[in-house]
Amino acid sequence: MDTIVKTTARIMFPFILMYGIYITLHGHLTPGGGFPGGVIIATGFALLIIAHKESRVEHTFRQISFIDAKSIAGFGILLLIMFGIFFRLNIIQVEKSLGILGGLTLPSNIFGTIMVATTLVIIVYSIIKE
Amino acid sequence: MIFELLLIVMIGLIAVAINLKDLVHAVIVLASADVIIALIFLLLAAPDIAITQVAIASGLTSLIFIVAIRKSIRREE
Repeated sequence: MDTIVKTTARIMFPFILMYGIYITLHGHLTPGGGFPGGVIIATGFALLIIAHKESRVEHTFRQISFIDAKSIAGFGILLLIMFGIFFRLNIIQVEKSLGILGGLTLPSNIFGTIMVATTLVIIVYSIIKE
Repeated sequence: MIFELLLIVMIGLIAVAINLKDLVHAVIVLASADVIIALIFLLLAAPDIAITQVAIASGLTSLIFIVAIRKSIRREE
């Protein structure tokens, strides 16, 4: 694409990433959570991939590293579910007594964000390299 | 009253998006129609769904449409 789109994508990318991380880390107190934060982060990566040539972007963000991050996050979700079953904790509902930490909701939001974001970035990569 | 007004504007935007010949312009008009759907969700007191609607329908789907248009022809007919 032309220079305006490339420069705008390069400037906006850190701000989109920061907004997605904010939606995730504050998701158990305000509206938001794992899925919207992951979609916003994936939109930032997809904007960068589409605006530049994909060979230049893949030099920095390789597709295989997204697959690695996705498998690590899937293992984390599995570990969290087994932890919840073992100690009989509720990982879906926010525990009001824990306040700003939110119990096990915060780690499950973080792992869910990594899962959604890496899945959507892998989909965009595989569409654009078809 | 405001819901009917927003729905009429949304249907008008979708009709414009169908009739446009340049497909990139049609994608942009469709994204603005999705923003109006998110506004209706917000007025119905569902801010979770509004955030998800804006992020998916107006962000990621438009980018995937643009990729598909770039691999195909840009102008209709």
